[in-house]
Amino acid sequence: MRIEARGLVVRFGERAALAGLDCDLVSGELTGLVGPNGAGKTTLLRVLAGLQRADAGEARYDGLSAAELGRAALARRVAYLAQSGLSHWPLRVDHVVALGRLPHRRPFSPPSAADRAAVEDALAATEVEELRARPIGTLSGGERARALLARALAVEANMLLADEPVAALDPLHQLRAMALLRAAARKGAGVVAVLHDLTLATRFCDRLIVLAEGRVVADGPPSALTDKVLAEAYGVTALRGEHDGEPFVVPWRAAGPNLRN
Amino acid sequence: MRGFPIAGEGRQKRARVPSPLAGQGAARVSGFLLAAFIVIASPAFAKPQRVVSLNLCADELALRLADAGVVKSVTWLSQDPRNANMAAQAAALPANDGHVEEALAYGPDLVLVGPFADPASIALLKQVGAPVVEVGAPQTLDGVRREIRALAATLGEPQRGEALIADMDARLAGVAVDPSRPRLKAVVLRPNGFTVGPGSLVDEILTRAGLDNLAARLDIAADEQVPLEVVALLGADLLILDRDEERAPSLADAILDHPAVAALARRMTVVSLPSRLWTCGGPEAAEAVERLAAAAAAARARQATQ
Amino acid sequence: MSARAAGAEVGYAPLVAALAVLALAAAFASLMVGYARLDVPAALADAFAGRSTAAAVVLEQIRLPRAALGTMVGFSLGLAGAALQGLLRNPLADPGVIGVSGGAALGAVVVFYSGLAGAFALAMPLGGVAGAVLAALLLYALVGRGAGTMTLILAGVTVNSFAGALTALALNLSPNPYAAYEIMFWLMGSLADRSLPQLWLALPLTVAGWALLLASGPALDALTLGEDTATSLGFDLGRLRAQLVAGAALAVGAAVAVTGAIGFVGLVAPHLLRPLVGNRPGRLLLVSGLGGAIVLLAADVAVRLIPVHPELKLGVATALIGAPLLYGLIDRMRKEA
Repeated sequence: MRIEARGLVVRFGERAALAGLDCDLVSGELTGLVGPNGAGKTTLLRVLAGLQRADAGEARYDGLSAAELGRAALARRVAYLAQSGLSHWPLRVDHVVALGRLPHRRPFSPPSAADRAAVEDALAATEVEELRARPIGTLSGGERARALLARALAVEANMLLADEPVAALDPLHQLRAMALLRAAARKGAGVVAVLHDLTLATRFCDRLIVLAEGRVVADGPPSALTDKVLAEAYGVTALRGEHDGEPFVVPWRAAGPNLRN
Repeated sequence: MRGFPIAGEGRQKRARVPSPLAGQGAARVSGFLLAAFIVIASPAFAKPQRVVSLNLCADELALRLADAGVVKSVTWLSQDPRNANMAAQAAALPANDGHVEEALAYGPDLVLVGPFADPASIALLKQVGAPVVEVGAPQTLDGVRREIRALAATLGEPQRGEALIADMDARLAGVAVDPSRPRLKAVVLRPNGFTVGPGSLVDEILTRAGLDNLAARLDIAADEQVPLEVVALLGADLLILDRDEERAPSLADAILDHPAVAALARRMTVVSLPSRLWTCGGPEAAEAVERLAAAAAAARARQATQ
Repeated sequence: MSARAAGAEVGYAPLVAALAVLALAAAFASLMVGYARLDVPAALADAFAGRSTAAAVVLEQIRLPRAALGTMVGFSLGLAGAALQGLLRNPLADPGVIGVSGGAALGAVVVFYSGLAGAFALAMPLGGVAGAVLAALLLYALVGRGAGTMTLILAGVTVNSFAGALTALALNLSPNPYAAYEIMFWLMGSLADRSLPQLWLALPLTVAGWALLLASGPALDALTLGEDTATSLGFDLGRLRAQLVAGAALAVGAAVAVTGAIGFVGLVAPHLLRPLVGNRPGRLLLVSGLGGAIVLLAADVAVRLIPVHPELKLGVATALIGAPLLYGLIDRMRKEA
């Protein structure tokens, strides 16, 4: 699947969250969406997921606009994982994950074999099988984040848009979740994840899109995250290196004259 | 009786009687005697001239007994022909809501209240020197007669009182009840599902009309609510509805239109009797008796053909 | 949210079947209980044979409407309560608490006492529906979306106070002398001496409401995870809100027009049954409807057995159980916050 965004503008009052943004997203890639706070990362994801209307510009899904595609088809092809992990009612973990199958299910018909398999796969992939009967409210923050990720994976969509999926996880589970997202991309889905950890982003993502002030500042393989880009977008300098053939990027110090606020 | 002093009205007038007798001496003597009589009579026997009534039943009786123009104000209830018997006369008068302050505004020399008047209000009226008389709610026909006599005396119209009673008795006598035949069984249904128990005026009206009030069998003291189911299963010959055709909608009246009542009408005689004939214990009770007797006769006729 | 009764979930189909049987039993009990000794089998025989004996009349015209309306109204209140709780994501939402029943009572009162109901029979239930819609719109204007418990309760109090005051005013303005005293019926509700015509009038609107509410199951399930996630799962939230407001207004409005505002059924039934469906809002809908019917029928049997004259208003009985429950719920939510 290919999502093409052209000239997206989103304004909240005076402030422009997206100020004329272009980007292309394809299946088969794990794309990291990075940038400082307020750069427009969440807004971009919400527009692409069909949750936020753009004031100008549009996004096309395999050539079709969201309206042409229709709500139901869009829900099957694009999955969205929200930043805030709420569950208003204390459902069991497996029932929460099963909610991800709603776009595929006919109302009031029982779950199909495919539905059940998708739920099982998602539970296994995020390693929450043992927690399946627990009410989600009793889980720790990290466990809950994995369960909600499982819900998004259960949709088996062509494109998964995840807003900070690993922020609440401990280091082990961060590594495992990033590996999981990359594996999902290898299997053919497209994954776009908002990330704050630059090392995780450069190690695992096939591509990085750097946003600042509602615009794309850099777009390319992880090497596109140059010192210049770091200084301009984030206002920091970083310690770079390699270990076991994989890069690491550790923000070290605030940058000099090109300080952002 | 002293009037309540308000500006401009002053005291009661003394009657001036022009003497038709010729001659100064005779005129002066008869004038003197007349004046003496009036002076003696005034404080005790003067008729009230400014009567305010704060109760529906008192309104009706006062309008029947007093001269035109004596009653200054009646309650709004008595002006509605659906609720009251003297609506035409009442409509010509200013209405009150039954409140003490309204009564005082008319400068009354007599205030009529009902049996459930607030004692504090009565005390207030007495405090400002307005005489208060309570018109009761009689539970028997004898009580009706007593009330009529008492109010007639208070208003200074004893003859009118007697005439009213005589008229009522004549009408009652006109209702023939054959003692040899068993009485028809009747049950009364009033708004909100109330019926009439034994020992009430309506119960006596039923008896006078030759009917047997089944509610008395249910050990209901005074008027009480009876469920519609019970009314339906009593096996009465005659169902008497306290219902007016044209009252504004209310849930209380809605029960009288219940389909169960309509269904019962196919098996027994149903008669509607407007509540104004039995809300107050007044001479209109005779009309209620007449109507019920007629309904009883119709019920017998119907049973004879079934 | 606590882990209360985490293991209490039971199979859905057996649960629905069991509740349906209980509801039927309760309806039957309602038929058997009354103020006069009625030989129900004999009355049934008479009714079927077309003999209009007094017993058949009582059964057909008094007891049957009472039992049928108890079932219908109880189902409506339970279902609407579960649906509103799913929409507002708050276990305290109940048509009475948030003011929808109060609005419906106002609508019905205006129609009835102005004489409109005499002109056009369907006017009564439609008046109830209109009042319910207005109350719901007012509530939404105050609460916005996803408001917290405090705001919701306060908004409900506001709508209820306003609707109650206007109802009392309308009754006082009526020319009928009994009207001012009938407020107890409208604000506390009763099934006494309701009639078959009232049942037939209310039924179509009520069933339409049920359809709209029951169809919202999957959307309410999705809403568990918040509005964004629900939208991303393919649900149109604006349409869902309209569907639920319309459904609740139809079901509750028509019911209140016949029985007055009976509160707390939509609070008690969902609360008791939620653990049995694993807290899933979609499954709770039908289950809560059946539970509501059972609760209301049981309360109606109770008010006829309690030797109080005149008959205790149904809303009093449901409030006696429901208000302490509400208190407990608020207390628990406060502690968990």
